[in-house]
Amino acid sequence: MLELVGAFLLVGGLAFGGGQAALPLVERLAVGTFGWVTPAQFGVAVGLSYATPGPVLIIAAYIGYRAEGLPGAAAATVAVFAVPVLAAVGAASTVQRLSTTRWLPAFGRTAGAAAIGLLAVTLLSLARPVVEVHPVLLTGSALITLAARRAHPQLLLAVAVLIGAVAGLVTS
Amino acid sequence: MRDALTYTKPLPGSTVVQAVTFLGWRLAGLRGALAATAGFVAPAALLMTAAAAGTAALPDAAWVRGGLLGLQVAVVGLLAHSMVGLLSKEARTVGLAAVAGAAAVAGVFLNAALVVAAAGLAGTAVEYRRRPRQGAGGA
Repeated sequence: MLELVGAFLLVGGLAFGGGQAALPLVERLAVGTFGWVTPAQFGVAVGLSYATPGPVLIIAAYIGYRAEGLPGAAAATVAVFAVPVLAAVGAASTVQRLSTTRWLPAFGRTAGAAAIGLLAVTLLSLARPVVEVHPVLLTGSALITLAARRAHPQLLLAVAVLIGAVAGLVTS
Repeated sequence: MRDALTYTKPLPGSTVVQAVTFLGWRLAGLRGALAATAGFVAPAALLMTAAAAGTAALPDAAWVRGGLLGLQVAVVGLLAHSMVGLLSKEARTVGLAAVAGAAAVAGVFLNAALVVAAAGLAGTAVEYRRRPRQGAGGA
């Protein structure tokens, strides 16, 4: 439980560039370091965090639940938002100057860029379980990438789940 | 609202949540900030916990496996789309694009938190070398 809280405090504290940019950090810790979820489960969790309303980092609740049940879900959720929320309260009150200093925006810009680069690593690890089933499935992913310019993510997720379910039934 | 985004953007964390916290603070101080944040995060957290419990309890049937696989296929596509969007928005200079590329390579071998923190420190160092001792910002 301590590891869970520590990991998500770290994720919240280093989530420069927004929640999505923090996904690589979540993936490395939850799948790699601690093994709370499998790569496939992580993929499902990301899908659910896209599908549900609210912030992407709510993925903490899913991973917390898988690691330590209900208390884990609650603890991970509080932990992942603790640092950002305290920082926002600080920004709204006494340390408003922090955001207007030079070092923090400079730190955030570069850290954010690095986090986005790390998404490539996350993408590979999410693609691996898919490729292991069949490489052709990545064509579907590519189609979704193109469609995401126009269509709503929730709709695309629903369509993909439906096609997958029907295909599962037919091929079984 | 623009204040909320200006002041929370450089801070780490989910921008949406921080904007909510910030606005809550403006409306009703610390209690407002906590209430607004809890009100925004709690429904999503409950939904996500239910989803985690739900997917854990799913039967091991062909249609379930197919559906979950479909979800993973879609996630790869959606994440690729976000990555392209984020790159064009946040890594607009050659330097930042290079940082993103270097991080992608480094991330294969190194701890992700380390890569992010190191990049941030490097960015700060470059900023100060470029324009030393300007403004009131302290390190």
